[in-house]
Amino acid sequence: MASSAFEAAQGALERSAGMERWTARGALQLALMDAGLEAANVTAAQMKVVVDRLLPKQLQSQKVADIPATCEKVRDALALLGDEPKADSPDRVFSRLAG
Amino acid sequence: MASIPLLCLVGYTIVSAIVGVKLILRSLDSRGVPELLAGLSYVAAPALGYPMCISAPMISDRAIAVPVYVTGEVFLVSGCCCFFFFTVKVFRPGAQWAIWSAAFGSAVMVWSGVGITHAFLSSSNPQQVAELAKTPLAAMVLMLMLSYVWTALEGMRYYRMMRKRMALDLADAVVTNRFLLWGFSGLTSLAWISVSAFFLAIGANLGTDPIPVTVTSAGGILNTVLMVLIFMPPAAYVRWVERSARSGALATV
Repeated sequence: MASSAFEAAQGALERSAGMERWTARGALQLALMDAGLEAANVTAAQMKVVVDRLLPKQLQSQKVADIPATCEKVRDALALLGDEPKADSPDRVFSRLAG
Repeated sequence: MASIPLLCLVGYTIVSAIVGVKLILRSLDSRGVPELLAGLSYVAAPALGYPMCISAPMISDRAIAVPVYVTGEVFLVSGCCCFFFFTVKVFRPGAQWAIWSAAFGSAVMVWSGVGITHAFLSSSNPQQVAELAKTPLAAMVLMLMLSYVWTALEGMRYYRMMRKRMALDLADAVVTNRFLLWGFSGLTSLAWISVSAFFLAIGANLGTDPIPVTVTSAGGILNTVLMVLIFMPPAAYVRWVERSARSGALATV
């Protein structure tokens, strides 16, 4: 199951770039893979960094027309979310282990 | 020669007890299930279960030896089961295959524990006990080896991911390093138990044969060091990891 940040970014991509559900999901998954993140527990703050630094490359390969505008729409969708998801992630657990 | 591995194992036992109690206390504050599972795992298996199972056969009075052994085996198996579910809870929380794997592993551990205990109860002759416990012991060792392979793979996989996050300033260098150490601890335990299993299978004496003695001692020392660095890292080590990460980041600019 994907995090709310992932779902929000995917929805925004579908609406703003006219991408199909699985194409949008695939582009985001590839960007997340490059960032070392997982759809299940990516936060809005992490997703914003991915949108800024890695998503444009994926959108370019999908031949999206207005990449800066699309990224802006995704950022807007993420801004509406609270930052932290409820689910524990391995890095959060490991940061607590010696805390 | 036999006192060296004994000292190493005593060190490992003491550090496991300290780490386990610390994690359980931490879980009371954070209400985190992973900390609780890891804490119970360290207290039950290496701190209590293992030394009890090792020392029980040395007790001549069976009235004392039997309850010590049975209790030790219960702790050992419970600790291993907690360890399996720690891996699931942290690295694969929603994955059905992982939950079923941990459940299957736990069932095998319980079956092995019952078989080994039955062998100990059936005879006071160590050779006869070893013969009777052969199959359940082999199953237990195999399950432990698989769990350490899983631990190492998950640790290394997540370390790779955390390195990518570090390049985007999305991860802390010390936590990233903790995954590497976790992977190494899985590999160390795997190497240690694999060598012991091999020498046990060919009928060698694990207490006197120089190769298993050296490997057991080295494994004990390494695991103790890794546990300290993961769960109670000294300030100097933390500073070193942070400094190395900063210089690495500068080198790539």
